Amino acid sequence: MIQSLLNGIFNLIINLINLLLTPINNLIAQYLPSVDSALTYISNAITFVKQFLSFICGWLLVPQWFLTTAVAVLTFKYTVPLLVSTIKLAVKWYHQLVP
Amino acid sequence: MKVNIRLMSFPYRWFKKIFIVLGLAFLLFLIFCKQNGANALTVDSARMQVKWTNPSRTDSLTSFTSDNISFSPSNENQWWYALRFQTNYHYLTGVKYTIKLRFGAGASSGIPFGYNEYNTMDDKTLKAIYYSSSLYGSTTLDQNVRSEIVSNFNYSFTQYNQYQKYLVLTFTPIVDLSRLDFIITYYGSISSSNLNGDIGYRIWNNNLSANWGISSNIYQTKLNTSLTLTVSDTSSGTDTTIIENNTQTIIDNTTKTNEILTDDSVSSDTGTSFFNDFHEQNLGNLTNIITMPLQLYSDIQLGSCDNLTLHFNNVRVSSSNINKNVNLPSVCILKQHAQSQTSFNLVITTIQYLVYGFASFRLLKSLFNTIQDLFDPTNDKVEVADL
Repeated sequence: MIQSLLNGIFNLIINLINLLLTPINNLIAQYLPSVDSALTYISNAITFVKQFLSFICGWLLVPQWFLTTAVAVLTFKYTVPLLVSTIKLAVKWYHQLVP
Repeated sequence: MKVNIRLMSFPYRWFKKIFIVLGLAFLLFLIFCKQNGANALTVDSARMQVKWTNPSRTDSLTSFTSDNISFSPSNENQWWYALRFQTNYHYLTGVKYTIKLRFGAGASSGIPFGYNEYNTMDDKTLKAIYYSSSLYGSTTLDQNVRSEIVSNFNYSFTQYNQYQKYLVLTFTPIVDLSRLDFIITYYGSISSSNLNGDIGYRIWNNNLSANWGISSNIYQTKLNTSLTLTVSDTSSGTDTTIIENNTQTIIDNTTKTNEILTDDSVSSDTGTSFFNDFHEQNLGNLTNIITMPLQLYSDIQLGSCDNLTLHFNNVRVSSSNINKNVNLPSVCILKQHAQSQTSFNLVITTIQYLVYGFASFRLLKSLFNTIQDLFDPTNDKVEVADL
């Protein structure tokens, strides 16, 4: 369940980022073709490296439960503190605005 | 009011470890190639290029089909083909041209190809075609679907505009040429032009260093089909028009994006495809780079027992083995062995629990420390709200 939830959240984030960056991508592709070529090379390099990852994780005997746990913990660790801080900040602003 | 939000720290240490692991894996791969090849792994650096994808523009002006091309040398797998055709075309200085090669159903897989332009037909110039070509790659084509290979003819004319050019397309003869199209596209627009040409072919032995372009008697003009292409774009070819066209394309794309954002129609779609089909979307380069960690997680989840097959263009694994796939066995070999050998399975499982149990302990310990920090007012950079 956690694995499916993480996959869904990640897919949502990827799609939203893609939607936001579409105009910038178009601008770069049209007016800065050399920059677009450079980005294409970087993107291709990442795609090339990605095909090794599952292979390496397999030979490192990484269990599925560890992978899911690690990603879930890291996601929690790097998102919840920011969320809590934001809520605290919002409450403080509310107290200052409302006498 | 003192507001200092503590931002999350980027896990650079994790990335450092990942890169170390990848480096060690690549070293093992090199050792593997060294041991399995008769000679050392050699790479022709002049021809080794990163495979390109994602052409930026695909708006074609026109095309012609060479349905009447057919030839079949006896030992065709031993030869390279090169189609040449003369283009009477007003190439503008600084304009980026794009050539599309479209191979039809029935084309075989693994087609190395390249092309370049030249001004004369002499052998010395031809020799440079292969090596100086800015587009060299290979692809795997579906046997049943008409596929496209799109290449960038990224030649910029710096001295003067030229009218006549010869283009040469090189590829191995495993393509059904009766289903081969050429499409010429380019940035901007040109008022009118035409592409006339004699299509011929030339065969070379695939031992390029010995026979490439040396002897002119192996050239055969077996095909002499006159082709006429009329480009029927009506807009003018000024730089202003090029910019206007590019701007219009951006406006169109932005309009489409706005339509998506303002679409409030109620759909009966459950949204499943939004999550399931995102891999099929053409992510932009920036998106691909930024969302790389998230995609890595998804790719690891999709890992299976498939062997890792690598196809390196122009990498010589052995003395007579060029452009061959390198297969690395997956860990399933180990698992199958572990299933048959109980003691070996016990060792593997023990190692797994020890290593990743300890790693999980460290992970959860850091998680608890994070939660403790949340409730620790002295460690909180944001002023604690008076709840």
